[in-house]
Amino acid sequence: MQTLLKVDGISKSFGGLRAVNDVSFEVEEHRITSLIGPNGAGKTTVFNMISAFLPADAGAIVFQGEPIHALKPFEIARRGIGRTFQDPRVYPEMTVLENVMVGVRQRGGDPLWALLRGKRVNAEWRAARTRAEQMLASVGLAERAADYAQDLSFGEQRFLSLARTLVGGPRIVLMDEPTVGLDKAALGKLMELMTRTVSERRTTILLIEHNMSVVMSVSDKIFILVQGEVVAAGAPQEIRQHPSMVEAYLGQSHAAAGR
Amino acid sequence: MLFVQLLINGLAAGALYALMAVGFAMIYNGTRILHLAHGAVFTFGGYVLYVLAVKLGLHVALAVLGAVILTAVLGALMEILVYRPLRKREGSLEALIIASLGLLTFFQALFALTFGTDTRNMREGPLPTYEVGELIVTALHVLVGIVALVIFPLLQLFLTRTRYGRAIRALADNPRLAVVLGIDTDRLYVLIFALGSGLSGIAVSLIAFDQGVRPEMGFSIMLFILVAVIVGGVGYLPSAAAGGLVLGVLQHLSLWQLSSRWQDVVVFGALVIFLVFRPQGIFGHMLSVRRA
Amino acid sequence: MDYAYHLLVVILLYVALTISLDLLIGHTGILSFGHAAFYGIGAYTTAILTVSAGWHWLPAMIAATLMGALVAALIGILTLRLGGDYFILALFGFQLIVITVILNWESLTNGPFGIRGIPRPSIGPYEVQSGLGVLLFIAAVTALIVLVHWRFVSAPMKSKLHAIRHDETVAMALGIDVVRTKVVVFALAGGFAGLTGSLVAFYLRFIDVNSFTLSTMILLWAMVFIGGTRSILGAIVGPVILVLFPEIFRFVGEQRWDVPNIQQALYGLLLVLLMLFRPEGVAGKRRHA
Repeated sequence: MQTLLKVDGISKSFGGLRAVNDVSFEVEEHRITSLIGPNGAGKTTVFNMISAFLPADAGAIVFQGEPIHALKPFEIARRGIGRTFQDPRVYPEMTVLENVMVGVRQRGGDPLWALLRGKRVNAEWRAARTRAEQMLASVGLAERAADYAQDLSFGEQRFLSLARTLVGGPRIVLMDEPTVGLDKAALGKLMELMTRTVSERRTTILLIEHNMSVVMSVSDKIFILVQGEVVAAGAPQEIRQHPSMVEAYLGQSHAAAGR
Repeated sequence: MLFVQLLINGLAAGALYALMAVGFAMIYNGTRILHLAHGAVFTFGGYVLYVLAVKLGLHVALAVLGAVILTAVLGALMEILVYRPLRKREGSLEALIIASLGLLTFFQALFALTFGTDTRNMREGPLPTYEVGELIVTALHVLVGIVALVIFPLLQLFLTRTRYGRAIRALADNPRLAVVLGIDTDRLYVLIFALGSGLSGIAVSLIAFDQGVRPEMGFSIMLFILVAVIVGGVGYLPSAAAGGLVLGVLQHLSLWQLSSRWQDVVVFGALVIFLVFRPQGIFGHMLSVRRA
Repeated sequence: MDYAYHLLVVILLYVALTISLDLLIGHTGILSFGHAAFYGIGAYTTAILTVSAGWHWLPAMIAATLMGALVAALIGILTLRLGGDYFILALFGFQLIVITVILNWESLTNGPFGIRGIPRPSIGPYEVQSGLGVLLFIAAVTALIVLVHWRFVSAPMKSKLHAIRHDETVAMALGIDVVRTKVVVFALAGGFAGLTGSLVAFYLRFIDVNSFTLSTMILLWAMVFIGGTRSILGAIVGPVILVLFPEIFRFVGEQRWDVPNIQQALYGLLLVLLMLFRPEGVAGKRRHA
C-alpha cells in the first residue's frame, strides 16, 4: 500500500512548552489511521501543522510525494487534504444545502467569473448543486436540505460538516474527534460512513478520537501520542495490550463511571 | 536647546497620550471591545471640570477629583447599559463598533448643545512658567510629569499586587479560563471600564486647564490614541503607554525641522510606516486576531 | 422642483456608496473605515484630471474608478492578512492619511481650498445641465453599480462571502483563498466608491476634503446598518431615511435651535438603540432565534 501522507520529525513549541516533539508517522492510502492519546498530547496540534494553520518548528510533511509544509491552508485543502474540527462549525445562517455547496469549487466562486457569469458558470452551479444533494443523501440529511443549519441537532450538524468536507472529493480527510456528542445510533451511522467513504470514494482517513470502541472498530492502524511523542504504533490487535492503550480504556471507563 | 525644549513639550504631550492610550488598551485587552467612545468619556470629563471649577467655583483639586470619579462612572455605565446587553445577545463586532460610534456622536452633539460649540476656557491668561536655564517649563509640564510618575507605577502595582488587578490580567490573557475559574466577569468588566475611564479623567485634567474644553476634543484625541496603539502595540499596557509617549515626542520634535503644517503628516506617516513594515508596533504586541 | 432633484441625487449617491460598503461589511465581513477615502480619491482624481489636465469626462471617470480600485487593492494586500480588530484601526489610520495627504499636497489638490470649476459631462455638444438631466445621468451610473453588485453577489459568491465572513478558518479548510477573495472584493468596492466620487465631482462642480471625512464614514456605516445589511432594499432605505430625516427640520426648525447638533444627537442615540433592539435594521433579515 502506498504512503499517502508522511509526517517526518515534526515539532512544535509554544513558549517554553514542547507540545509536539519529533513526531513521525505515515498514513497509508485507502486506510483509516487513528491518532489517540490523552488530552493535551498534541494531536490537534499535529493536525493544525498538517493543514498549515500552525507552522512546524522543525520537520517535514510530505503528501503524495511532495512537501507541503510551506503551503498555505487553502492550498493544502486544494491539494486534497480535507479537515473537520472538533466543533462542527457549520454556517448557522445558511441552509444545509448551501453549507455543503460552499465545499464545492466552481467557476462562479472565483470573483472575476462571478462578474462575468455566463452559461458555463450557471451550468457549473447546477452541477455543484446536484453533487451537494447527492452528498446530503449519502449522509442521510437529504430531507433537511432546505433547513437552516442552526436548526439542526448537534449530531446532524456533525454529519453536515462531514458532508461539506467530503463533497470536495478530498484524497484524505483529517477528522478531529467526530464522535463527540453523537448518540449510539449516530455513532453507528458515523462508523458506517467512514468505512463507506474509504471503500467507495477511495478516500483515506486520519482520525483523532477518544472513543476507544470506535477506534478499535474502524482503524487499520493506530498511533499513540503521549505528551507530544509517539509512544506506540500498530494494528488494533497488536497494540491492544500496550500500557498506554490500557490506560486510555481505563481512563474512558473512569470518565464514564464518574458521569 | 530648541531640541530639548521640544523634547520636553513632546514628553508632556506624550504623557497625556500615554494616559489615554493605557486606558483604552486596558479596556481593549480586558474586554476585547474597541471602545471608541472613550473619547466621549474624555470630553465628558472636561466638561465636568468646567462645571465644577468654573461654574461652581470649586477648588481645582476637588474639580479634578470630581472629573475622575464621574468619568469612571460614565465609563461603567456605558458598559452596563450598552456593551453588556450587546454582549449577552452575542452582538457582532460591527454592532459593538456602531454602538460605540453612536455613543461618541451622541455625546459630542450633547455637549455642543449644552455648552455651545466654542472652546470654554478654564482660566484666564497663560499658565505659570518656570525658567530652567534657557528652557521654559510650564506648570502643566511639571504636573504632567508628576502625574505620570505617580500614576503609572501605581497602576502597575494595582495590576500585579492586588486581587482585582490580577483578575483583570487573567481576564486579558484568557477570557474563557477566567470564567471557568469562577471570576465574576461582569463585575470585572465594570471595574475595567471604570478604571480605564478614570484615567481619561486624569488625562483631561492635564489638558483642560491649558487648552480649554470643546465638544470635539474627544474625537480628536481618539485619532491620536489609535495611532499610538498601532505604533506602540496594544497587547501590553506599557507598550501602549510607550506608543503614546513616542507619538507625543515625534509630534513635537517634528517642529524642530519642519513647519507646524507638517506635524500631522509626520504622525500619520509614522502610522503608515508601522502599518506597512511593523504592524505589531514597536514592542511587538499585536492586537488579538478576533476572527479565526 | 430643483430641490427635489437635488435630494434625489444625494440619495442616489449615498445608495451607491452604501451598497458598495455593504458589499464589504455586510457580505464579506470586512469592517472598513476607509470607504470615504476611496470616494475622495475618486472625486479628486476626476477633479484633477478634468480641471488641471483638461481630460474629457469619460476617461476621467474611468480613471477615478480604476484609482479607487487600485488603491483599495494595495491597501487590501497590506492589511487584509492581519486580524479583524487590527484591520479596523488600520483603515481608520488610512482614512486619516488620505485626508492629510489631500490637505498637504497643495500643488496637486489645492489643499484645504478644494478644486473648483469641474465641468459637467457632455454627450456630444450637449452638456448635462438641467436638474433632470443630471439626475438621469447619476441615476444611470448608480443603477449600473447596483446591477454589477447584484450580479456579483448572487449564488455561489454570496455563500462564499458569507462563509468567509462567518468562519474564515473553515473557509480556508475548504480550499477558499480567503485573502485573495477579500482583496478582490475590497478592490471592487473601492472601484465603486471611486466611481461615485467622480459623480459627486461632476455634480457639485467643486470638491474639498469636507465631504470625505470620518464623519462621512460614520454616516455611511449608519446607512448600512439602519437600512439593513446584505439587502439592496436596505441600501436604499438607509440613505432615504438619513437624507430625508434632517429635511424634517426644515419645516419644524426654529432659527435659534442648533439643528445640526440636534440631528447628530438624535442620530447617535438612534445608532445605539438600533444595535440594542433591532440590529438587522429596517430591511435586513432577522437572525434566527
